[in-house]
Amino acid sequence: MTKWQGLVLFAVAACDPLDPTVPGHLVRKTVVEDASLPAISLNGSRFHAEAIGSPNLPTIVFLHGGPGADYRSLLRMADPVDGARLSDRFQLVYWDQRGSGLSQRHGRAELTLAQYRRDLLAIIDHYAPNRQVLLVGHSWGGMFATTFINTYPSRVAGAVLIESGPLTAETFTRLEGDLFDLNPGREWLNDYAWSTQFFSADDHARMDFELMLGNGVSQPRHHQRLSPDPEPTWRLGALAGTALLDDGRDRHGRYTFDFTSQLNTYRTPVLFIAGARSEILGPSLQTQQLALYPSASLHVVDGAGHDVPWTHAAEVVRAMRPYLLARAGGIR
Amino acid sequence: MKRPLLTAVAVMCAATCVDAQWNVARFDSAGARAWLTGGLDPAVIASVGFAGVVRPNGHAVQLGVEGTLGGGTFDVGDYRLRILGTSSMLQLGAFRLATSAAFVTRGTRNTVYRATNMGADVGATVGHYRPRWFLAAEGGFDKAIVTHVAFTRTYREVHHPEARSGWYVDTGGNWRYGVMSGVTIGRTEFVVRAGIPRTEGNRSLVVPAYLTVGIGRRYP
Repeated sequence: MTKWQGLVLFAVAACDPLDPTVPGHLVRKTVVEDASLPAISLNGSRFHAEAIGSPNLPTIVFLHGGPGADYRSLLRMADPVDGARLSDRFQLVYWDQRGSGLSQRHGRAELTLAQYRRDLLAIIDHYAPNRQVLLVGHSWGGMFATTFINTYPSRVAGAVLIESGPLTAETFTRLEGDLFDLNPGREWLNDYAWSTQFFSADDHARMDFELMLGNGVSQPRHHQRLSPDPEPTWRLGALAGTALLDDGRDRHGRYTFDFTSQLNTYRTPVLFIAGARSEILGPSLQTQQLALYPSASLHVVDGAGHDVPWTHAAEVVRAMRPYLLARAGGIR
Repeated sequence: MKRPLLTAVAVMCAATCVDAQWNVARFDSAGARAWLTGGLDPAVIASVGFAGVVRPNGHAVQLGVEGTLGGGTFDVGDYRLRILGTSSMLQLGAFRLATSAAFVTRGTRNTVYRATNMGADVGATVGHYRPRWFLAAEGGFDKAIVTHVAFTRTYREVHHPEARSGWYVDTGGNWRYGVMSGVTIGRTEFVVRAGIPRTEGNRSLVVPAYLTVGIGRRYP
């Protein structure tokens, strides 16, 4: 070995080179890689999940946004509000959906709308066996709640849909172009594109890491709070996001899903909540979507954007607590 | 109005056969070249480059340097510097095969991380080269070999406190497949490149195509 070869080897060793695919280097470890995380195994997958409150109380299952995000930003709704916690009266179930957040990663074939509905049914059966539950869904979580109610109405005693995404393909197609700011001159988009020279999105870790570049800044019309105290996430499941969207399309790329086809039989009252400043998924859209349920009402939170469960958690809890308590009385 | 303009361009093209192509297969003259490029590759970019021809052992090799700023605001945090060599390897009549190799260093600064990268780019171009125009296909591979990554405070505070800053190896690489074409007018040449980039794992990129336009000038 020459002196120069030795020097190069020493330099590389001194740098302690890192592998981007090693769990935890770029993005957080999932429950598969970190046994200390709270988790349950269901339906052939391992889910990041936790329950707060007595299992004997009525159960609220929280459904996070995305698809592909995680429940971290919904945890504030478990904090005390006006001296009381939701968990004083309910069992709160938080979980990261399949391929999302800190739950186990899966290939595209296992990330479908039907599988998601089966997963939620398994979650309900696990935490509230033979009982109805209440659903609280934010953004995509509102869509998820609706498609579940559309399929398994007898398992849901009520639902709070916070800033729900479009519930039909027609509405999604109409709004899709407004959801993201794809102006070629935008810094976030160029940063995202430029970053592809540094990291290739060829595995889950790098794919999820790259997606973080658009987090919070790619949707300015959501009017989310970027600083201080922005809405946090643990990890974005990039493949879950694209696979679920693709599952709602036909082979020509046209959206075909309809989460509302059976809703006319669901007579249970549903509560919609919207942030007053949210332009695309805010009060205007939710007013239209109210009509898709036979019985629904809308509460608008002043000064809030799409991230209302994080920035205005107390107001959201105040708005939904009377509704949840009323619905809990009718749980079978 | 259009016809006189087209006529003027045609006359200019016909009046000259000066080789001013800066990134293709003709190195018949020994002049230096400078160029400006703009477009989408892989973000919005603006580049400036300079190259000259050397002839070790009588074989012409174009050596050059190209600096690029990327991003919506063209801040200096998103940069790319290529030191490149290009050489014509094969000629059959008007058809030529050229190959290139480049050392690449680049940087980025965004909401999630800052990075400095060193990499390599190899490529080949095969095409039909006439005195006043050319049309070629290109392919190549740009590899990020070592990358120093430093995560932002926001990323650590809001998403991942234990993210590992440091030197990463083998973070990625991108293939490119495309076409390029150009016309020469006097000492000036206009070149258009377009194509598709794919990751080394054959996935589409965020921006699934590249398109650049450039203007180059030969200096005798």
